[in-house]
Amino acid sequence: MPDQLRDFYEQHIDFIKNSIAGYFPRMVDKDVFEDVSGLPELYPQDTQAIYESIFLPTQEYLNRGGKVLRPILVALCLKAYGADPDEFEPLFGAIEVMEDSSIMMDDYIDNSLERRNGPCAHEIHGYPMANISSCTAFSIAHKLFYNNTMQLSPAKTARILNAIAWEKIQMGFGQIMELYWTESNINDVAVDQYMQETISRCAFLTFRGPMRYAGILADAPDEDILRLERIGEYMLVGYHLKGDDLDMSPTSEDWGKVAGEDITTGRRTILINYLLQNAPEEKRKVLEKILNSRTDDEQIKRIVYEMVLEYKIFDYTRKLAANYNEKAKFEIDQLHIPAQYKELLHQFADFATKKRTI
Amino acid sequence: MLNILIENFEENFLPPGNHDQQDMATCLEQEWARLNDPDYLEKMVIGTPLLQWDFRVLDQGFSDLILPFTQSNSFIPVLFLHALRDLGCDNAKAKQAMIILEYAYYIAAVNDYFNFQQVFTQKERNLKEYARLTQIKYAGQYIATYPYYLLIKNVFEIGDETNNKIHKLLSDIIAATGISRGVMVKWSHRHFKDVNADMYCQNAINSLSNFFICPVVLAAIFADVPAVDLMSLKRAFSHLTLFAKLRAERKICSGTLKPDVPPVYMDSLKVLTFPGLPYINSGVDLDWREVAGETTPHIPSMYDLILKTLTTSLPADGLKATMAREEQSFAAFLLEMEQTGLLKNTTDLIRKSYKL
Repeated sequence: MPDQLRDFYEQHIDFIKNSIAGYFPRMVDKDVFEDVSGLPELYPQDTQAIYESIFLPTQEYLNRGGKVLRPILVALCLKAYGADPDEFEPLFGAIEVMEDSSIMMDDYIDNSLERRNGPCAHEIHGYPMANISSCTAFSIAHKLFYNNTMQLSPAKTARILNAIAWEKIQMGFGQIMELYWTESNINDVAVDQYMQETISRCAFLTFRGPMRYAGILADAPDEDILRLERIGEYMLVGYHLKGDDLDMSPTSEDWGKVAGEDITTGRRTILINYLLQNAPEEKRKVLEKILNSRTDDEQIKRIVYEMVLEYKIFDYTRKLAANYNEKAKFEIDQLHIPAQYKELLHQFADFATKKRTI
Repeated sequence: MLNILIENFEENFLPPGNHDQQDMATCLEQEWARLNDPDYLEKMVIGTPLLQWDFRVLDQGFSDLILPFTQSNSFIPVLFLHALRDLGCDNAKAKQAMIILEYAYYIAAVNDYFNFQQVFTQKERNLKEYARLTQIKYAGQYIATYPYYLLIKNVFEIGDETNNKIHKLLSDIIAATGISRGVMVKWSHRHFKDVNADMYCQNAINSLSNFFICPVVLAAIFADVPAVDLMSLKRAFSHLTLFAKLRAERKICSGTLKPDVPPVYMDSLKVLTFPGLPYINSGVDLDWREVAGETTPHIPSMYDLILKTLTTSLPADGLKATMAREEQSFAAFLLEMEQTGLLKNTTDLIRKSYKL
C-alpha cells in the first residue's frame, strides 16, 4: 500500500474495526428485534434462532476480517470535506456489514467454495439459509439510515435513502444482465456492456455508493458529489478488472478464494469476452465448450489460462484498468478538497487497481 | 392470497360496484409494459448508462422467468385501497403505491420457491439446477427493487418525512419476513423441537407481515397518521395477522380450506398455511425420517407429513388451545382498533368477513 495511504489506514483502522464490531448485533433480544423490524414483539420469540439464522452467517464473514477498504475510503472522503469521522461512527460498521452480507450472495451465485480462507456461508449453512441470511442482513445493515441513528435532517435522509434504493435497482438490473449472459452462454457481449453491468452490479459498495454517502454527509458541493460518484465508478472498473485477473491467476495468498472460479461458473468476464471475440474460430470453440461445461477440472481450466497468456489478454485488461485509473485521477483533481486528500485518493485509486495487498 | 386469509373476501371487499380490482389490473398491466420498455427504464428507472445497457435481458433473462410469479393476485392492494379511503386519503397518486405491495408479494414467492427446493437438501451439488434457481431468484430481486423508482422520482408527490417513513416501513417488513423464514428453516433443522406456542405465534406474525401490517401502515403513512397511532395499528394488525393465520392453519387441518394457487406459489402457500400451532398443541411425535433429506429436512415435505398426521388425528385439546389463541387475537385486534379510533369501516368490513 502506498505510504501516505498506509499511514491514513493505520491511523483509522482501529476506530473502524471498533465501529464494525459494535454495529451488528452479537445477540438478539426484544429491543434488537423491534429496532430492525419496526414491529412490536407481542410474544417472546426464539431469539437464538433469529441470531443463528440471520446474524451469525454475516458475523462469521465479519470475524474473518477483510481489508475494510470501503470504510477507509468513507473516512478519507469525510475528512477531505472537513467532517469528523467520529460523528458518523456507525456508518463504518454499516458499510462493512453491507459488504459482507452482499458477498455472501455473490458466493452462492458463483457456487464458490471459499471466502477469506474459510468455507462460504452456503457451504456451512446451506443455500436457503445463505439466501435468507444475506438478503435480510443486507437490509438490516442499512438500519442506521432507516432508523435515522445519526439524526440527519429529513432532506438528507431522503437523499440517502433514495440513493440507496436507486443503487439496489442498479444492482438488480446488473445482476440479471450478468446471469443472462452466463446462463444463456452469450458470446457477443460488448466491452461497454460488460463494464456497465459491472458498474451497475457492484458500484453500490465499490466505490460509488460509499463515496456518495460520505459526500452527502459531509455536505460536499453537489458538483463534487456527482464527481465522487464518477470517481467511484472509474475506480471500480480498475478494481474489478484486477479481481478478474486474480481469479485467473492469484498472485497472493491473501486472495482467499479458489482460482479459476469464473471459468467454472461460465461467467463472461472481460478476459473471457475478449478471448471469445478475438481468438481464432477453433480456439473459440474450445473455449465455448469449456465454459459451457461448467468444469472445475484444473487441467481443463488451465487450457483457458494458457489461451489468456497466448493472446496477451492480461495486457489488454491491465491497459484498460490503467485507462480508467487515469480517468479517476483526472476527476479527483477537479474536487474542491485539499491537495493532501487528492493525493490520498490518487493513492487509493492506484492501490485498488494494482496491488490490493495491505 | 389475502382472499385465503380473509374469509368471504370477494363478497365484502370486492362487492359489485367496487372498482378496486379493475384499478389494480389496469395499474399492473401498465407497469408490466413499462418494466419491459427500454426507453421508460432509461428515463425513469435505471437511467442513462455511463456506457451501454444490454436490453436483450428483458425478454430472454427476465420477463420469461418472472412471468409465472405474476400470475397470482395477492389482493393486498385491495386492503391498501380500502384503508386509504377509510383514512380520507384516496388520491390517484398514493394509489400507485399498490405496485410496491404487489411486487413485494412476487419476490416473497420467489424467495419461498428458491428456499424450499428439494435440491438443496441433497448431498450432491447440482450446479445446473442451482444456476437455474439463482437466475429466477435474481429476476425476483430486480422486480422487488424496481418499483422504488416511484419514490425516487416522487411520483406520489410526498414530502421528505413521508418518503423516509415509507422506505423504513418497507425495509422493516423485509427484515420481519426474512427473520421469519430464517427461523422457520432453523426450526426445521431441529424438527420443531422445543418450539413453544409463543415463539411460534410471533414468528407467524412476522411471516405474514406483508399481508396486513404493511398495506395498512402504508396507507396510514400517506394519511399522515401520527407515530403513536402507527404503532397501535402495527399492534392491532399483528393480532389480526395471527388470528388469520391460525384460522387458516386450523382450516387446512380440518380440510375446509382448499386453496388453488399457481404451482410456483405452492411454497408461499405452505408458509401461509403451515399448521404449526395445531402441531405444537397436538403433542404428537412424528417420525421425521421420511422427510429427513440428505443434508437438511425438506420443509414442504414436513408440511405434508404434519398435515397428513393432523387431518387424521387432531387431538381435541390441541384444537381447543389453537381456537383459544385465535379468539384472544381477534379480541385484541378489536380492542386496539377501538382505542385508535381509526379505520372504522375497514375494521367493520373485517368483522363482517369473518362473521364475528
